[in-house]
Amino acid sequence: MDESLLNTAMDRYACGDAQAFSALHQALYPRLLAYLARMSGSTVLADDLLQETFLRIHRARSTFAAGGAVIPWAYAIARNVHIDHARSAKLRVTERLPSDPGSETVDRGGADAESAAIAAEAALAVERVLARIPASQRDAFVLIRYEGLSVQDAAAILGTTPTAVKLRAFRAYEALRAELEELKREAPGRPSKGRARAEGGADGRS
Amino acid sequence: MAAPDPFSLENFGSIPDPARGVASRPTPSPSPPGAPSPTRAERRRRTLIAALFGVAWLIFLVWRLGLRANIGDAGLLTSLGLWTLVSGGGLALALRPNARGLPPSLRVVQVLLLALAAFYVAGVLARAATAPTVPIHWTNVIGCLSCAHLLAAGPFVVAALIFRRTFLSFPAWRGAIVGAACGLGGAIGIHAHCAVETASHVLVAHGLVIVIAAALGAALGARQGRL
Repeated sequence: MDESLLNTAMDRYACGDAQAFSALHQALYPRLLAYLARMSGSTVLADDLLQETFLRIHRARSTFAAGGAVIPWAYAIARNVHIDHARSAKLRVTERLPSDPGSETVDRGGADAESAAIAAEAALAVERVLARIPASQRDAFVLIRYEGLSVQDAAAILGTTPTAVKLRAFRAYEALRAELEELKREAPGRPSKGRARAEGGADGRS
Repeated sequence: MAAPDPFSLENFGSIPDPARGVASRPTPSPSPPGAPSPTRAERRRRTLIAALFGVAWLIFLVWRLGLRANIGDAGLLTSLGLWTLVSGGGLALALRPNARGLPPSLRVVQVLLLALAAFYVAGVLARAATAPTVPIHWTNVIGCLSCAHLLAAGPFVVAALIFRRTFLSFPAWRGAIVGAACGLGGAIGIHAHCAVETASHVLVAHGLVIVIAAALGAALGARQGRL
């Protein structure tokens, strides 16, 4: 859906038009689900956080500024939901259930077994680095690289300046690039950190 | 020729996406949440009522306490008018969304908070320079401090209700500036009542409420302000 149409739909929803919710849900669901999966490292958890995000969007619809952009606004709410979850999760130990595939859903269509394994390992390495780096860097990188937001929108979501966001995202990128280069250098027969983590299956991010 | 950007984002595409397939999952049929939620028009009406209540609270209490004898003094009226403008203007700037409907950055809020406090102190010192010095006594201080807190309490309570779960980021800082503006309302109110202009008295007995209200606003914002 075109962004301006989506903004209009949110405007109508803020003014009380309940019919506009389905258009918003249709457009925001895949984006926010992917974002929350990247941030939490679990699709099962992302599903739960997404429900909470839509509930908060509904409750706060009156605070949506007339003529504003709904996509960065919705991302900011989803980020808050994730932050609240991460804070409450600090009080309890969480482990990914065996049935939870995590966020790793690499497209294996048409790829041979070896390249699929390499891609899966790279994805795990990225997930591992994203869990390790400071939250401010992860937020900036995910919003710009994966969510495709502009630096200005990412800065407004994170409540900081565009320069700071750019710097944080670049630092995250450098950490990721270093990890991926190390992965490439590893001997093919040797068990890697990513493989060991995949076998362990624990989610250390929340 | 422009120098190359050392923090170029062009190569970000080389980093694989660990959740590439998640976005392509089928979207379930939406069911609008049944929880009650005000519309934009309702929120505007509530905000207007809250603002009117806050102003009415201040005017009523100042009237009950009694206006100071020299309230008609042009310098005093200018100070009170400027503080009122700064309080309202600072709050409006700190809460005003940008062109994309998102809140201003943390730096803007911090600068406005500092500017609000600095403007108040500058006004107090400017008036104290020409006013006769009155010995400070704890009974005067306690009296003015209590009245200032009572004056600020009304706007603070309605602001706490209106701004509950509305801050997209840095709720503590945004709560602090809302609290500081309410505190400045209390300080303006007590200044319209108490004729003592001695800097030490005004800063402590009239101005401390700004700091306390800002601290309370920050605490409340952090607990209940995040959207």
